[in-house]
Amino acid sequence: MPGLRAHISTGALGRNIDHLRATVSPARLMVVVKADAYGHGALTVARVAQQHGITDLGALDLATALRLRAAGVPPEVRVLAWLYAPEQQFDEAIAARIDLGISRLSELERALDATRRRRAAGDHDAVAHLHLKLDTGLRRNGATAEEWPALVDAVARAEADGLAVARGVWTHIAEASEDDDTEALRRFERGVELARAAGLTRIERHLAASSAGLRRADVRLDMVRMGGHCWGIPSFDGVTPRDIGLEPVMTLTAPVVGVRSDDARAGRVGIVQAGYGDGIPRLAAGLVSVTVDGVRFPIVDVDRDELTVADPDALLTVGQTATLFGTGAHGEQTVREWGDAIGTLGDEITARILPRVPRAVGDEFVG
Amino acid sequence: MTTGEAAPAFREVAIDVSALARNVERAVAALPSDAPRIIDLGADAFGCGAQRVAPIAATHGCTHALVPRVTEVLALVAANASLTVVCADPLGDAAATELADAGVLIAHRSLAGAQNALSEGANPLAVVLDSGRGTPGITRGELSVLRSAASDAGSELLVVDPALVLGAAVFGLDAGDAPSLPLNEAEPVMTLWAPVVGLKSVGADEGVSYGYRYRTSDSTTLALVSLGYADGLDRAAGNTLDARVGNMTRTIAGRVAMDAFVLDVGADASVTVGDRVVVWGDARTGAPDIADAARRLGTHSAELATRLTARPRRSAVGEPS
Repeated sequence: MPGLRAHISTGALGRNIDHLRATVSPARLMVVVKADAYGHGALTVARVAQQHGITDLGALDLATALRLRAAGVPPEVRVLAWLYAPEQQFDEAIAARIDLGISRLSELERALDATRRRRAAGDHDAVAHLHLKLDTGLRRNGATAEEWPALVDAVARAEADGLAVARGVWTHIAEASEDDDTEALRRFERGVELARAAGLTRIERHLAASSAGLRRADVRLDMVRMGGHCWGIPSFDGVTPRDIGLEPVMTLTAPVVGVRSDDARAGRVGIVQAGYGDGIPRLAAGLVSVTVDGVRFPIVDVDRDELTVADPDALLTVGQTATLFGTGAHGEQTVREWGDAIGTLGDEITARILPRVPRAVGDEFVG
Repeated sequence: MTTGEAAPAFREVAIDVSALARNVERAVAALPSDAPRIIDLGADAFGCGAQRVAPIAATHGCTHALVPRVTEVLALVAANASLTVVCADPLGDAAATELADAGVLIAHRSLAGAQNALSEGANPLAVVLDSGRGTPGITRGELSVLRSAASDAGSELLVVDPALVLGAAVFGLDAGDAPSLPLNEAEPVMTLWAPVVGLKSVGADEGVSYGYRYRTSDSTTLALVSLGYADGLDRAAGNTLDARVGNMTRTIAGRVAMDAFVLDVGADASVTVGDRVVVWGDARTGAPDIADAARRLGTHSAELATRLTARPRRSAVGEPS
C-alpha cells in the first residue's frame, strides 16, 4: 500500500500556465516559485514553466534564485529576488545574473558595490539588473513616495555609469478593496512617470498578482506575477478552479492504516496516515473531510502522525487510499475548499505541506 | 554563500541544546527503572531537527529513537548517533529488508505481525502497545501472549509504550492529550526569530499588509520582519500573536503574509534594521511563550513547533553538558 504522497500533476500545471499566459496577454506572466512554489517544488515548476514559454520567474529570496540557476535555469530566463537579510551582499547574485528588486538606497548601493567587485574580478559583463519597488499602500517593502525620487535618480546615475539597468518598476497591492487597488494603481503610475522622467526608459511595469491579474485588465500592465493560480488555487472568493479555467495541481493522498471502535466518539473511526507533522492543520478537525472511493469521511481529530475520520457505517478497510484534497474530479475537496473551511488560503495549506511528505511528480494524477 | 561565511540571519529557529539535554536527563530519570529509554524523534523531532537532537539524546541517557514513518528513518540513521532506531510505521513491513539492513527495528502493531516476525527469528522483537487511539497496536492481552512466545524463542522483547516514550515535553512542548511521558518543569527549547529587514515612517490611519486589517492610530514606524506563513508562522497570527523586539512587545500588525509580517513599533522606538524580533522563545527572558501563542491560535505548542517548514534555518545555541 502506498504511503502518504503529494502528487504534482505537471500536465495540470502546464495547462494552467498556458491558460493564464493567454489570459493576461499581451502582458507577460511571471511564475512565482517562492516558498518552493508553495510546496509544489520550485525546480519542478521552473522546468514546466520554461517548457510552456515562461521567461520570468519570481524567487523572493536569493537562496531560491541561486538554487534555480544552479539547477540550470538559463540566463535568458529572468529570475527575480526582492527580500533580503539585513546587510545581504549581492556578489553571488550578480554573478548568477539574478534580477534584484530594490526598495531602498542602501540595497542599491550594495548591488552596485557587488557589480564593481565582480568586474574587478574579471566578470566584465556584470551588471545589476534592477526592479525598483514602490510602496503603493501595503506598507511593507518598497520605497515610499517621499523616498522614490532619490531612488530613481540614483538608479539613473548608475545606468549612466553602465553599472545597472533598471528593468522594472513594481509594487505589491493590498487587495483590500477594488477602490484601494485602483488608488494603488494611480500611485504606481505616478511613480512610473517619475522614473521615466529621471531617464529610466527601459522599465517594464508590474503590479498585479494572481487575484487582480485575472480579474482586472487595467492592472496587468507589462507583466503579471502569479503563484496560486498556476497551481490551480483560486485567489478570490466564490469560484471553483474550473470556473476560472484552472485545475488544482497538488493531490494529497494517504493510506488508511487502521480502523477501530472509538468509545469516546461512540462509533467506528478510520485512521489515515497524515497528521500535523505532515502539515495538516489541527483546525481541520470538524471542518473538512477525506474522500475514499467517492465517499466523504469527516476528519474528527488531527494528531502528529495520523488523522482520525468518522466512519459510522464501517465502510473503511485498511489499505484503502484516502484523498485529502485534489482536483475535485472524484468527489474530493479542493485545497481551496479546505482553506475556506479552515479560515485560511489554500496557499497556506500547500506551502506548509512538510518535507516529510514525498512529492510524486508526474504528468497526470489518476485518482 | 561563496564567501564561505554563514548566510546572514534571515529566518531562524534556535534550538537550546543545553535546555534540551537537561530536559532529556530529567525525563530519563522519571522513567521506571525497567523501562526502555526511548525518545520520539518523529516529524523531525517536533520541528527541532532529528539529526541534531539524536546525539544529544544518546549522550543524555536515551537508548532508542522512535520514528513513525519509514521516510524518516534514513535521516536518523545518517545522524549516526548511538541510538537504535525503532520504526513504528504500520507500513514498515513493506520495507522490512531495507530497514533490517540499516539496523532499524520494526515495531509491530499486530499480534499476527509480531508472531510472524518472531517465527522469522526477530531478536529483539519490538512491538507498540495500543494507546486506545490512533493506529491500533498490541493490546495488553496480546502482549502477555507475546511475552511467553518471545521467551520460548529466546528473543528479547522491546515494548514501546507510548505513555513511557520521551516526547513533546522534552522539547518544551505540549502535545495535548497525545500519550507520551509527562515532564514537570520542562525548559523551553525553541526560539523562533527573524531580523527587522526594513523600517518605514508612516502617518496616522494607514492600512497595513493585505486587506488593511490593521490601521495605524498615529504617526509611527513600521518594522518589516522576514517571517511569514511559508515559514510556518500561522497566517492567523496577524493581530493575534505578540512579537518582542528589544524590550518592547507588540502584537503583529495586520495579516501575516507568506514571507513577512509587520510590527508597529511607535514613532520614538530605537528599533534598527537587523534587530532581532522574537515570535516565541524563553519566557524567562521576556520573549513570548509558545504555549501562550498556541492558546491564542486555538491549538497546542507541539503543532506550532512541528509545523515550522524547512525554510527557517535551524541552529544550535547553548552547550550540551
